[in-house]
Order: sequence, then structure tokens, then C-alpha cells
Amino acid sequence: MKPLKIAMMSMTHGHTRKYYQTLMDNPKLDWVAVATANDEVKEIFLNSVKGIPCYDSEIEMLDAHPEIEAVVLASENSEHLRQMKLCAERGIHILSMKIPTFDMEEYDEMIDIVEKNNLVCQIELEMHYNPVIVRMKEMIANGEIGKIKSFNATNITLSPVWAFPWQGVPEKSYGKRVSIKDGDHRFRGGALCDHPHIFDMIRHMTGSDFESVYAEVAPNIRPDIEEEDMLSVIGKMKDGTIFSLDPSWSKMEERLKVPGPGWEVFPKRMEVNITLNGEKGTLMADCFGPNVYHNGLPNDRYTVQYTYFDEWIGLIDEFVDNIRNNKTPLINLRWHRRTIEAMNAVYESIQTGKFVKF
Amino acid sequence: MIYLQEKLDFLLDKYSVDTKAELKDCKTAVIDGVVTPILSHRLERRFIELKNIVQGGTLFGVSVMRVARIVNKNANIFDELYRELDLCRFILGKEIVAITAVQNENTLNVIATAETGIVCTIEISATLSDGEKPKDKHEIISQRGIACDVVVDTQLKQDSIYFFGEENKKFTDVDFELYGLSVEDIAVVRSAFQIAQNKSADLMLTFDKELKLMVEKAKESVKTGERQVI
Repeated sequence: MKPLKIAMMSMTHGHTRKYYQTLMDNPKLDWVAVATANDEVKEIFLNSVKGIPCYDSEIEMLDAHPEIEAVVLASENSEHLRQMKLCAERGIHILSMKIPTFDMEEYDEMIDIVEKNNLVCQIELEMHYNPVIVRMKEMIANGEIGKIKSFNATNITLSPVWAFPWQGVPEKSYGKRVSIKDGDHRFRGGALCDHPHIFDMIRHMTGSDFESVYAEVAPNIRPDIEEEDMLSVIGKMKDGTIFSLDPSWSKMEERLKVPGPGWEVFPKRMEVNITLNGEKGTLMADCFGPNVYHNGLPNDRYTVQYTYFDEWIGLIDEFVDNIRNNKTPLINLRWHRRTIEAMNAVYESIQTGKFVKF
Repeated sequence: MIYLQEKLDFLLDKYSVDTKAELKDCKTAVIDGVVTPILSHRLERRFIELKNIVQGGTLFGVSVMRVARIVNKNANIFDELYRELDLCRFILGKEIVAITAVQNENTLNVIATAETGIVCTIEISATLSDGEKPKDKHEIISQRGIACDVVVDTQLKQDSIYFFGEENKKFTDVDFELYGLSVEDIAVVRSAFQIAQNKSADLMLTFDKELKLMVEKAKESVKTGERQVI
């Protein structure tokens, strides 16, 4: 198979660095170039990766490399529609970050652009390429758990806003400035916008759709940011499965400009745990473990050192396969639309204090 | 229950407590002739320490308390909610002011709001096979720190002793005076003893009444699909 000629845009997203190794190592790819959004991310990129042409302008990059077949949109949410249009004009396939947009009109425009131009647009929900998730799906399919009665999950991390400042700006993260609820100084665009995975995974694992969503926002553990960082969500799927989802930034961090050793204040920077209570018993899963631990440099603080973070290998393999063999991505724009609607329902519930029914 | 009563009598005698205390079951005792809910979970050392951490100033700016509890298939999920709501109040030192719940048969998920806006999430399921010990986790998240009764990066509690021989065994012994009893049974004995010693049966009856009201509000929320103010 001819290697896919791929590029990256913006380099401002928190997942940008996850692609470096895969894009260098995967024999199915030819990493052609990157376009950086500003001098800061350009410097970080040039310090991290050698030998890949780096441009200050997306247009300049695309003009210089007409051979580019696909682009990873490693950008803030507010840039996605513009960049999708840019790619579509040139027939370039798209790997979008996990939130294409929260604006449903924009979202439908994206679907239209992609379908009219016969492009592959895959959404980066990398948890589907995690082996613990694969095992869980297998056990569900085998009937080992029986009918799922409740799905309880965490997708909790430290806050990335110090390293990736756009995530702390409501207009760039949520797309506009909307008060989280009456009388509250905070705005939409925080932790929820960073954590779509569990809203997606419940749909896959139950095979059902959202019936109702209820959410509450808690006092921030970072009072100096203007978006929500702690929230809780409960609700029901159409098949009766109830859920409890925690998409918070509940792990405290050092305010580093570039993520690296010493980022953690709490020993564990990230957790995706899922508990399935079913007719035949309870399944408890930690998607990222077992790990190793140290209290070495730079802060002498007890720290969880992850041993597995390879989701991007499977994700990129699927992306190449979709393009070369004209397949629809598992997480495509149409599928993902409901997940985004459910996340918007969380904000609506916080605002109204009521369940949102679908 | 006879063995637990013997241990309770031992404590009453040792510490010269005159109040009569008779265990009826693991949830109630007759204290000076009054049937009293003993809320024994409050005497589990892990919860006493979590309370000390939260209320003693080790944590600052509490935001969320997260609870998960998985119990035997035959257990009543609303009895478990009663216990966990009490633990939220006990550990946080705050009253619950509103409650929202969803239920699917023997599973129940609840968001309870405490004073100052602290959000408590309580996930309960009665799905374990006969003989399997309950699994639970209590975590309090604040501006300055997290407190939890399960060690970081694990899903289940640890035991003090593991023996791998012809028959594998494990033990968790946490009380020298009441050596030999399980963590839960120790809490039952200690609780009845403390109520008798402190003559706090009336307080327990008040707590019981308040908790039963909260549980009814949760049931109402399940029925109506609406947040219930306490």
C-alpha cells in the first residue's frame, strides 16, 4: 500500500504530541509537513521533532505540498470548521480532534462539506483503540455481563489550560461565551469540553441512545479559571440503562507551559474507569493500568508513571484503511453528532436545573 | 449476634457504662429500652479519618464527594442510599439540601447537593453474587487535595494480610480490643457502645428521621424525574 501523505495543522491541541511518534514510525504514513498557529507552538514542535518542514501558514503549507492527502486538525475547537473548509477545497481527508464543534448548525455544515466532497472525516476518539476497551466490548458481546443496568464512568484529568491556553477561553473551547447558569461567574467550555469519550462509549457499549440527562456543576477547584472544572452527570438511556458520568478536571496540576515530568500535583494525571453493572454481575475496569510509580525528579512527589498510551497507533491504522479502502470511520461525523448533543444537554441541564429529555 | 453482644458487654463492663445496650441486629440496638438506629458505618475508622481530614483543615475548599457502592444482589439499594447519604453528611459536616436520582431495578445513581454547593454523586448497585463482600469507594475532592479510602491507581481496597497456601486466606484486623471481628462487626459493636456511653440515642433517632426523608425524596425524584429540594 502506498504510504499516506499526511500533514498536521495548528499544533495547539493537547493531543498534538501524541501523533509525533506514530507519524514518524507508521510505515503506512509519509509525514510531509506541519503548519503551526503561532511562534510558541512552533518552537515546541521544532524542539520535539526534527526533519519535518514547518510552515507559519496553512495555505503556504498546502500550496508547497500539493501531494498532501490527509491532515490532522490539531487545533482549538473554534478553528475546525474553517480548516475543514480549507481541506475540502483541496480534496484532503480529515482527522478531526474529539470536538468538531458544539454549534449544531456548524456541525451540520461540516457533515455537508465532507459528504459533498466525498472525504473521510474521522473523529479522534482514541479510547476505541485501547485494549481494555476492546476486552470490555468483547465481554459485553459474549453476554458475560448480561443486560447492562448501569454504566458508571470517569474521564478525569488534570486541567490542560496552562499548557493549552485556548481550552481556558470559552470562545475557543465552546465556540462562544455562554454563562454556565444564572448568577454564576463561570462560562461553558471547561472540563466537559475536554472529555467526550464516556458520552460516546456508553452508546457503543449499550447499543442504545440517550433518553435523559441531568447534571450539576460543583464549585471549581481552580477558582481562578473562568470555566467549569468540576461537574457530575446522571441520566438514562432509551434501553433503561442508567448512567453516572464524571468528566471533571479533578486532578490538580502544576501550571506548566509545556507538559512533562512534574506536571502532576495529585499523583495520577488521568483516569478512565468504567463500571458496568449487569444482570450477571459487575465489571470494573481501569483503562490505563497497571502502572509503575516513583517519587523522583523533578519534584520528589509520588507519581503514577503510565505504562501504556498507544491508542494513536490503532487510530491512525484505521484512518489510513478508511482512506485507502473508501470506508466510513467508526467515529464519523454523523455518529458523533449525538454525543455532542448529549454534551450540550449537560450544559442545558446545569443551566435549567432539570433533566433534558431527548 | 450473640458473639457481638458479648463483645459489647465486654466494652460496657470495662469502661463502666451503666446504660443498657442490646444489639437487635446490625442496624439497631435497644438503648435503655429505646430501639435506636446505630448508623454503625460512622464508626468505621476509615470514615472517621476521612471526616478528620475534611473537617480538620487538611483539605481546603471541598468541591465534590464521589461515592460508589456495590453490594449483594439481595440488598435493598435504598438502604444503601440511606447509609451513603449519612456518610456524606458525616464526612462533610454539611446538610444535604437537594437530591436527584435515577433507578434501573437494582441500580441507583444519585446527585445530592450539600450546603455551600458541594456536589455528592452516589452510585449504588446490588449486583454481587452471594458471599461476595461489598465494594465501595469514598472520595472527597477539594481545591487543596483529594482524600479517598482506596489507594491511588487501584480499584479495590487492600487487605492487611494475604496467605497463599493450600487454602488462600486474607485478613484485615483493625481493632485490638475487638480482635477477631470483621471491620463491619467492629463498627456495629463500637457504635452501640458509643451511643450507650454518650447517651446519644435521641440524636441517632433524629438522624434516622432526616435520612428516611432524604431517601423518600430520592424515590420521589426517581418517580417524577425532577430534582427534589429537602
